[in-house]
Amino acid sequence: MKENNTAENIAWESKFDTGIERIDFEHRIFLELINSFKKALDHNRSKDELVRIINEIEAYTIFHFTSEENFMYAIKYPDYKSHQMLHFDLLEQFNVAKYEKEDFSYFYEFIKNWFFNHTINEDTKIKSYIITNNIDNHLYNITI
Amino acid sequence: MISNALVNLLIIDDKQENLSLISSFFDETNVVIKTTTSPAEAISVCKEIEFDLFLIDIRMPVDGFEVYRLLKESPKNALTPVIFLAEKTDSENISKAFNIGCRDVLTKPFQREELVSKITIHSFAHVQQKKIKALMSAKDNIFSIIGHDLRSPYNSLIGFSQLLVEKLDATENLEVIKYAKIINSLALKNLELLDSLLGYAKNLEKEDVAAFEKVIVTTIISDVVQTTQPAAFLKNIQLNLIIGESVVVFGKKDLIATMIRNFLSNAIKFTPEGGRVSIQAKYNKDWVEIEISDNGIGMNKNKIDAIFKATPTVPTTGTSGELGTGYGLLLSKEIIDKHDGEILFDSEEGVGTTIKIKLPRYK
Repeated sequence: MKENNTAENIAWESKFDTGIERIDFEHRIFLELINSFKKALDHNRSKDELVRIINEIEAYTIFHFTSEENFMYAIKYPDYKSHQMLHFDLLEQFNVAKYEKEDFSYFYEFIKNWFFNHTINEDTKIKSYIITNNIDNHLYNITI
Repeated sequence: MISNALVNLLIIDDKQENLSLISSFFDETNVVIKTTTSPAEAISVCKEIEFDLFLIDIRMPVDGFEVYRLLKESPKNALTPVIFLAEKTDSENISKAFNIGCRDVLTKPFQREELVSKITIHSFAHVQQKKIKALMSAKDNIFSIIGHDLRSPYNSLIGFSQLLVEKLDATENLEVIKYAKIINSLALKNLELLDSLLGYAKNLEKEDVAAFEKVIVTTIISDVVQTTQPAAFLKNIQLNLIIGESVVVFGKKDLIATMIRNFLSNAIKFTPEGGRVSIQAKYNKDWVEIEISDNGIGMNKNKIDAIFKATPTVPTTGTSGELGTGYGLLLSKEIIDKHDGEILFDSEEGVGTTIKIKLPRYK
């Protein structure tokens, strides 16, 4: 289902790839959520509706961080702790951002920058570690 | 808002934006907030101000648990409860926080209403706890005064007036004998009242079943009859102790004595001049039955029903104008309950009252 207003949509790029199937899959959903928020914002949807999407993003973030941390733990990723700390920081920032209810574009910028920075700069480090150390990550392949 | 009282809240978080956000939630409330990003400042302010609640972020350069430990070192805040802030996915610290005994953990991202409600409830709960403590300690003081300063002169008063009654018996001065008897009787009554109040307070404080022992009721009854004799004598009431077999229950001697004394005094109080009151104790299967009967003014059904209401009813004045406090019966009922016993009334207005106190037999 293509959206007319595609110019505003963030498209998936290869630089987001971590090579871990399930994590990439979750990142795609995360991107979908960011795009739905933008779409709702551009279409002047009600404050209530925007807050609902923020709550959805919040719930998904918590789920996704748990997935990622479990994966790092399973492969004994050496920077597991520091990566988890980054997640904690992001949750803290998310908390402040979600109360910026007067200006929802602030939240959009926040969540978009977060996705770009964290995925490209941090999550892909896991990919390098897997390749360098030849780690078997087939348990996180998507099988359905 | 739960109450109009102001409460003091201290929030410590290493990030100013978190402090500003949380503080903004309490703009229109009775919560007085002090915020700081510096544990050192928090420690110093805790030496001066007594807080009703701490809200501490766990993940700070100085660990939130350590900050809490240091804050509690201040005597003013040794009992101040804490709510910790943690990230929602930080299950390790959330468990740790609950394990060290915090009031609650609020997780980031948080929901405004939940945060405001929990902080309000926990700080007001602490304020109320402090109030209760202050009231309890005032009560303890009052009872300590009753128990010592107020109570001890009564023994001398009773002893000396008793002596007076005995010595004067031989003389002819009937007026003087009468007054000496009144003094003796009033002193005894007041001592009973003080003991009732003390017993009531003690009974409220602890469920002291561990202190139960083998109690010979027959002995208690004859002691009580002896001390209440002057009151009966004064009203020319014939007080009969019906001697039977020796009966034993498992309970607390002081409490049982207080209870019997209350009922016996009551019987005398509500029996007119020249009447009679009798008491006896006997076994009936698994029970010890203590029966006190009088040919006094009696009670109707409403009066019987109202007698053990949780708050003392307006005391009824005795047939010779004796005053009461209403606590005696309430206390007696509690004593019976504590012994898993029961009480039965058989009363008719103008004819008299028989009460039967049933206590489990000692085996």
